Amino acid sequence: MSNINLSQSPESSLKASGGILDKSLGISIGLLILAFGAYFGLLFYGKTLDSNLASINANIETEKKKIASDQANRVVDFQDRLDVIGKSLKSNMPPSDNLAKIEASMLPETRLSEYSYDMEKQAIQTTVIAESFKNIAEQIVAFKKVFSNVSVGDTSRSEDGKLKVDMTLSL
Amino acid sequence: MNAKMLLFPLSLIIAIAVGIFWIQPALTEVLDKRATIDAANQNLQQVQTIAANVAVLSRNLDDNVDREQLVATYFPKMQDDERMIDVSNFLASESGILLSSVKMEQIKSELVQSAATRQSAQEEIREVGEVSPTSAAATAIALSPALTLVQSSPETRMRAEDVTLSVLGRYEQIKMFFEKLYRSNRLNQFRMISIQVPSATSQTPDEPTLSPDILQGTFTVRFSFLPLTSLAEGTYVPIFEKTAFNFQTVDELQGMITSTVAPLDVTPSPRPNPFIQ
Repeated sequence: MSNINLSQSPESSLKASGGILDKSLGISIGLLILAFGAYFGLLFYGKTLDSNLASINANIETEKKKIASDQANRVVDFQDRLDVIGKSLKSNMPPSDNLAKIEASMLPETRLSEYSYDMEKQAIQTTVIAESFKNIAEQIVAFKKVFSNVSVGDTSRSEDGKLKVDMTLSL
Repeated sequence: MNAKMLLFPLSLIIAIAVGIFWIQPALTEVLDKRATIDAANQNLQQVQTIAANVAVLSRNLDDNVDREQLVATYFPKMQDDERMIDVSNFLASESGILLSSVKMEQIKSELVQSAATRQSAQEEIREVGEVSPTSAAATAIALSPALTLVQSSPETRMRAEDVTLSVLGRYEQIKMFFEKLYRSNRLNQFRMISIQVPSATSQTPDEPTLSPDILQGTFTVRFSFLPLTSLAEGTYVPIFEKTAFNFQTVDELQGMITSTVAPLDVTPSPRPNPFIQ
């Protein structure tokens, strides 16, 4: 029993620790390759995306030129005119409409000596000629049935003795 | 051996540092670029759709040339004094009235009228921008889409001419004249209508006495025109979102027009002395 050698030899312990260190070297190098590989891979992918974006933007510019072309101007020009004409057809009433209202509300005892329509004022200035104030009053009543308001202005007598009354008829 | 022992922790630290300071920002940048590409693809799709619609609408006009021509005749692109005079004269003759005078007055578009006020407004904005760096005038505009929708405003660009006509005729003839003018193939708007019994003082002694049923009419009619519309690059209008025009307005117009006056066509006769006929 005294000849049993209990101590390990230095060569075998060195071999074991050397193996672990070699493995860790490999892992370290692999880790660095992975890290830098990922970084440069992302850089390359970013460059690919840049050229993709440039291509899409170039396509957008090409298509935009088609929209700013004579063809597009022709389309928008026609639609603009349609829009204006459409509004005009709806709002621009025939000029004879107001005269028709006057014609429909004239009394046999009265007549006009003047009719004036102003689009901006939306009113008709008229001079009514009648024999008497009663006729004038009746004419005002008749006008009020077709116009929103009737206001009476100056009154005078013509050379032949008839009454002349200025009236403003609101549309 | 010491160096080899330090290698693994060192490479781990380097890898972590590369990950934090290089990979992470690069990854963020790549994700941002992908989002930008998605937005750009959406823009491209929108622009392609609109460009395709423009082509379809243009073909729609090619298939409806007569309607397009009617609209162009009714609402022209340029001032046409000769047409206004010709239409008024032609319809007066048709109605049996005498057209005694024609007076024209140009009306500027709203755009031109507001140019003077706009200039002073811009000067004010500049002054505000200079003293207030955070004002709207100085703030940079965020990234905008490929195309901007704009509302075309033809009313502000319209120009017009007010034509004042003086006529003599019977009541029914005068009424017929402005009814025909209203229904002519030219956009018009009656701004003022005046009908009166001509006064004795307005006639000269040399003129023959007018019949008692002859009236004097004065009308101011506005004839509008619209210069050709031109779209700025990078903008589009609502009609580009459709694939066909609504021609109902043209059909209504066609039904309304009863007086068609053909356009003038002249053949000049050159002569050495233009003062002699």
